[in-house]
Amino acid sequence: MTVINVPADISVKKVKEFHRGLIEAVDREGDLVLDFNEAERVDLAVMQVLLAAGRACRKRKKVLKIKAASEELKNQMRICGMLK
Amino acid sequence: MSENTIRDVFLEEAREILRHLEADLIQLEDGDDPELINRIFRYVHTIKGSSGIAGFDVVYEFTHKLETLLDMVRNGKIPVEKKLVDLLLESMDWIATGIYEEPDFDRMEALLDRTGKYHAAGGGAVSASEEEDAPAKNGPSEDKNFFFLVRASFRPMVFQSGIDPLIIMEDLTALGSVEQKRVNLKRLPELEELDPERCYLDWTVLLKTKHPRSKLDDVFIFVKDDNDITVEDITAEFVDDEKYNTMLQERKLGEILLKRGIITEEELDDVLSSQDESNRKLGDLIVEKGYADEKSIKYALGEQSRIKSRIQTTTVRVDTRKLDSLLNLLGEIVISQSSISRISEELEEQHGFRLKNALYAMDRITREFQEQIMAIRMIPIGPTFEQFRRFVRDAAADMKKEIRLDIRGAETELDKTVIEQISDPLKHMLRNAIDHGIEPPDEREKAGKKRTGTVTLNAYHQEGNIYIEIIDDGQGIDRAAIKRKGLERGLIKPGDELTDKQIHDLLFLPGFSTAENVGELSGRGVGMDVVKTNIEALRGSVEIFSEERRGSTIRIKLPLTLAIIEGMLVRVGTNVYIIPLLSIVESLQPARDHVKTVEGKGEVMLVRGEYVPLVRLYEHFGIKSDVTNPWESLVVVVESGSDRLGIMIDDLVGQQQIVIKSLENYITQSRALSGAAILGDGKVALIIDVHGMVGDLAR
Amino acid sequence: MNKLEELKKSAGAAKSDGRQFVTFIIGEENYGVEVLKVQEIIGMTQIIHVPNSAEFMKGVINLRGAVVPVVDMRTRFRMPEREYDMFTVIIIVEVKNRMIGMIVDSVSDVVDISEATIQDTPHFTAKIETDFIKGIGQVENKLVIILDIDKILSTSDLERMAMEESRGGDD
Repeated sequence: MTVINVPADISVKKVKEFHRGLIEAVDREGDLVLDFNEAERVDLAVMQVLLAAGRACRKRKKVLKIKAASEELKNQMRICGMLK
Repeated sequence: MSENTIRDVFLEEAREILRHLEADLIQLEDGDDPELINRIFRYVHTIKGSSGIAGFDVVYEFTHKLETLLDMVRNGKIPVEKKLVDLLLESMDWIATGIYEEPDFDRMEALLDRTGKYHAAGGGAVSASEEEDAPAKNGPSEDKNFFFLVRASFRPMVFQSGIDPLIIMEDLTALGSVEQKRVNLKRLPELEELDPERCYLDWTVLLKTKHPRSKLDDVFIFVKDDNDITVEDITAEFVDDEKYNTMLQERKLGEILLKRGIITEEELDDVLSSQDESNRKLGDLIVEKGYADEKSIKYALGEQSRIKSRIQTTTVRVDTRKLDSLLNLLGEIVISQSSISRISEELEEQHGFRLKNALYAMDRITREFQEQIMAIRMIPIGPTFEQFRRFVRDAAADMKKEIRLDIRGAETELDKTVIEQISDPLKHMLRNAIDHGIEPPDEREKAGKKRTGTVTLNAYHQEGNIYIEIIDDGQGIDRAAIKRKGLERGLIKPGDELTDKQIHDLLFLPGFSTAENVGELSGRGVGMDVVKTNIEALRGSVEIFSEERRGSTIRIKLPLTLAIIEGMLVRVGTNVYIIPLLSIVESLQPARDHVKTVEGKGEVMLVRGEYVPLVRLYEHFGIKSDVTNPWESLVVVVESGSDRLGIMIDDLVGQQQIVIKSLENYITQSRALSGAAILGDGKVALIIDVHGMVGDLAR
Repeated sequence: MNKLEELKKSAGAAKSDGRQFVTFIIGEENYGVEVLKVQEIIGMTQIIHVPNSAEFMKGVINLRGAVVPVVDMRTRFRMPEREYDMFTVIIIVEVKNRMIGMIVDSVSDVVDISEATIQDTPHFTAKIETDFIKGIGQVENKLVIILDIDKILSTSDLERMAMEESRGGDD
């Protein structure tokens, strides 16, 4: 199980690095956990990466867990179809 | 908008909503699907709001309470059961009378009483909407909800302008409640190929809000120039949310499941990508991966076909007078064409030839034009059949029988006016099948049948005609009883040998409809004879088939086109008449010894080994003829249903397309005439009604 | 249309206190019908006989694509029939949204008859049923019998009569 702490200032400015990190994490063994303790919200660039990562995990029959998501983040995920 | 117009619009829209509402309520009995309940809630909510604005205060108050009840249902506080559906249906009926007739206050009290009991059972909570929606009596106030369809597609490099589309979408959705939403993820590449600095998503959102359009425009103010944003006000059309399913483009199974919240977008994407690899059915894959169960797939498939049929019926709304006027104009074109055609006959060969060719081409075009206009007036019979579900349900309950209604051929199309006029006769026949055809459950069981009887409504096209059948698997027609009744009423004589058909035909005689209960015989004041007359007025015919203990079938045949037909012009003396080509079997000159006179039956003629009645048209119509001997003239053999007869004429003139003009009742009492047409030379020719002529002979 | 318009033109403008009538002759009497009810006046044209119809129902004609029934007013008023000549016209009137043609001996003029001069019928030994008469007007020295077209060509009456007469017919 790999845990990634999503930084508070995550945004399109830092998304390239985040993206690379996720590619690597998805390849590792075990499920993937994204801890949003520090990040209240994200922007669309980040959300796209999350969506793609989710898809990649499913392909590999892994689970992508979202931890400590704020209400705001949950709303954003709803808008992007990541949550119901 | 003036007072009157608001009211008129409301009256018309309410009619449509109530129709859909009824269909949905009936479906509710089969299962409490959350999407269905939501839809029902929205319909009631819409009626509530609109009735308030249109000034129907009593209806408003009543519907308000109903809405509260439905809110509890959709929140799971009240379970869906038959008693509840009954209450809802009755309430819906009351709303209809409240809007189109006079509100019945006693009935209202009784219904509200039952509603109140449910309220209490459900926790008696005042729904949030009660606070939101204060009665809107003075025109559009804060109460009015708008519906906007927003499509937002951002350009790939939008992030570079410092814009976060997600914030924009958050702002948008914050303005109201999202009724439906579709995020298009198709352009989003795989994780490895993704360029995180590009935007790949676009949205389609159906937003319900109290804010005016300007507020929505404001949300997009900084992005609308460089990106593809559309905001459409669809408040006026928001009656049926199925429509928006189609506006959201995808009617595919996956989308339906998504919309109903049965699977998530990720799950759908997953399945879609697996599908590419394995080429298996979407439904199967979804179930296999555990994203949804089979029941949900079936629901979705059902909805898929319902959406398809709804599209067919809800996409065009045209004033029928406009269609009638189009058809009239086309009729005049056809008449002009035949005038020109006639003139071309008179021209010399060399000039005439080219003109005739040109006319021939034009003829083909007008024929196709005609078919297309007729096609516009054609609507599927499905919705009419569906309306009967309620009727069957109630009638079966009345008679304490278990009956299911099977509908086939719903997509069969008929001319709009025909559908309107066939509705009552169909209802009557359904009633018969329920009252007298299907046996009570116990009796059925004893007879080795299933307890639930089936009544089937079937419609199909065949050979230029439309057939509508009402089939039941009940006890069939008791022929002996009919014969008895026929003898009693002096309609038949003791020694008469009757074919099954003739026995069944007795049912259509006026004398029969007032009979008391004799198996499948009695009508309820409106007899089968009236049904037959109504159908004949549409130039159709009715037949009954039945097998004792197995069931009965009533088959209605209707002509496909009403106004323009192929006619054969025939001449008697100086008069020209028209015989519809479809009715003609053949024409021949009989041999002298093939024409005989039979005692009590009149003149008959031998046609292919069978004797058919012979009608001398000059006699029948009281006109002068050139020839008086059938073997020296021409006889046109015609048929209507299973009846045949020979019409004696002087000569055949020719065949042409004719436009049927109706003849008012007061002009003639002859049943043998069904209308008139204007020929190329400007003369009026009367059209012979074969079915009517057969009737004349029978008297 | 020409005839009617010609007549109207020659009659001049309508006076405000009167109404305009199309006057015509049947037998020896002058009759009139309100101009507003008259669609047009056409010359005699081919009438297609319709079987099983009342005696006064002469048949139908083609009026620019519409099939219009035509009534012989002499027969309707139980007068002896007369051969049609070049003066015989068909006056097309509108009764309850339907068009019907009336065959009359000849048409006279469009005249103004002021309300004041229209008297009630009583003392007149009219040749036709008083039901059909709205009143008697005077134009120059002629008496014009103003007809109640709605009653004479009432479709329910016509239908009833058609039924009675056809029962008497052969079939």
